[in-house]
Amino acid sequence: MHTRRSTQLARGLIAALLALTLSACASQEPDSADGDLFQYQEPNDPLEEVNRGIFTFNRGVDTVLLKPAARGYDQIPAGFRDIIGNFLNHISLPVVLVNDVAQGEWNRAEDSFARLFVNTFTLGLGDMVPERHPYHAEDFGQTMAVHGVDDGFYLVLPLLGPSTARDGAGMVADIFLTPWTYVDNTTTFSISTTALDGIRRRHAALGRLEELERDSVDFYARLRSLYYQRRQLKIDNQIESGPDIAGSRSTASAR
Amino acid sequence: MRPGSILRGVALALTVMLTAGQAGAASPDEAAQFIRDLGTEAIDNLADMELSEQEREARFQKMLNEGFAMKEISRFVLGRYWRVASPEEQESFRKTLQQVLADRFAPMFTNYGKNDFKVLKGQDDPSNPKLYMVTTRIKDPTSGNMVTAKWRVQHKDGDFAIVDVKAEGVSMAITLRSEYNSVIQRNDGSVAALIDKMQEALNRDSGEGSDASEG
Repeated sequence: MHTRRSTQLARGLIAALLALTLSACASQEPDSADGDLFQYQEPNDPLEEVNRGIFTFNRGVDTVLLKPAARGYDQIPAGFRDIIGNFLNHISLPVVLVNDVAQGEWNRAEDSFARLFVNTFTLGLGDMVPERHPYHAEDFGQTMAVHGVDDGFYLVLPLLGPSTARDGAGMVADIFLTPWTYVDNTTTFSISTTALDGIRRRHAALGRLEELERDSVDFYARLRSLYYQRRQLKIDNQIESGPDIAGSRSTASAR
Repeated sequence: MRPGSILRGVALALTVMLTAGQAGAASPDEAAQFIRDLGTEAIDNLADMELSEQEREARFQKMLNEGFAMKEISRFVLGRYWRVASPEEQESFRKTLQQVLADRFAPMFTNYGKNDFKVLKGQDDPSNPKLYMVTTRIKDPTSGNMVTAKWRVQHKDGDFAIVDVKAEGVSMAITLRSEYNSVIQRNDGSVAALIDKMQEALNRDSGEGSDASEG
């Protein structure tokens, strides 16, 4: 068993390193002096046709499965939704804490540690931590960005939505930072909680995603732009990586 | 030329430059006051729930002309395609973009109260020394929550004008440029094709709006 896990870890690291190399090769150039003044960069989307295909597929999944599930989730009393949210936040904290430390964000690491320690006494279902230690999300894609890794090219992942070469590699790394990856018989738990988190995020975007599409002439390009802009804000810790419109991993999306 | 006359020349040039700088200069507080006045005007003109959608949009279009640097926004949003567009296409794009903005923003002010639009501060734009940035808190019409909107304002020929707005960190101008450039690229560089699609989206949107009101 130990050998199998070592092999999995090695494969994950190779995938992450490959993506890092690719992303380093594919930096974005400012479009013009005009663009530079407005901080505009052309999207780096060499896989656009493939990405658009996956985007269409994701939208189908959204229409048939995810949006109805999010509407169903809306029918759950708010108190129960809070409990679900607390639990999903809580189980993400080991990964968040490691990434806080890897970014040298000591105050944020303290927040994550306090939440992880105290709320474990409620099994993650309740939130007993004072407001001065708010929840925040972090991931390995952001950690790489903080250490200067370029986002590389744009990617739309099946079911998971908008991402980049760097952030996709970060997702793989985060799997290996998740404690129960190394515990037997937890696959169902991992898939269920990931799906539930997707529904929670889609729920947060109900109405807003539709509003974004209302006057759009190229929804793919609009969501791509939103993804890049929101992602940079999250890297800079100017907004949190909680459920929102463009950062919604399970929405159909993405300069 | 004698050293004395060179010095007098330099001093004269510096005086002219400084005077010109003062004449064209404004302060972040003035930029903030400009946004405050515009917000008050928008609430006074647009918040009335009895207004028809057409009347609200017409009023907002007038405000767009007065408060937004529509030519600069249009030029930025089209990017390099602005230069290849004919003057007629440039004008047509500007007018269509104005309609799009009116269609998007005018309904926001429905039923707005004075407390739904607060100016927090004005400052020099951190990313562009030619602009000011005014931070506001406004009510998000979808969620009803107060959200942060930052207005990027230029001061040109003695007048302020908005060149971009960032809502919760997302830039309107950058988002539109990215989207519109994508459409042009996928239509063999045709600005006319983009204008057609913008018009289609406007018609679709107004159709859905009337369907909803009939329903």
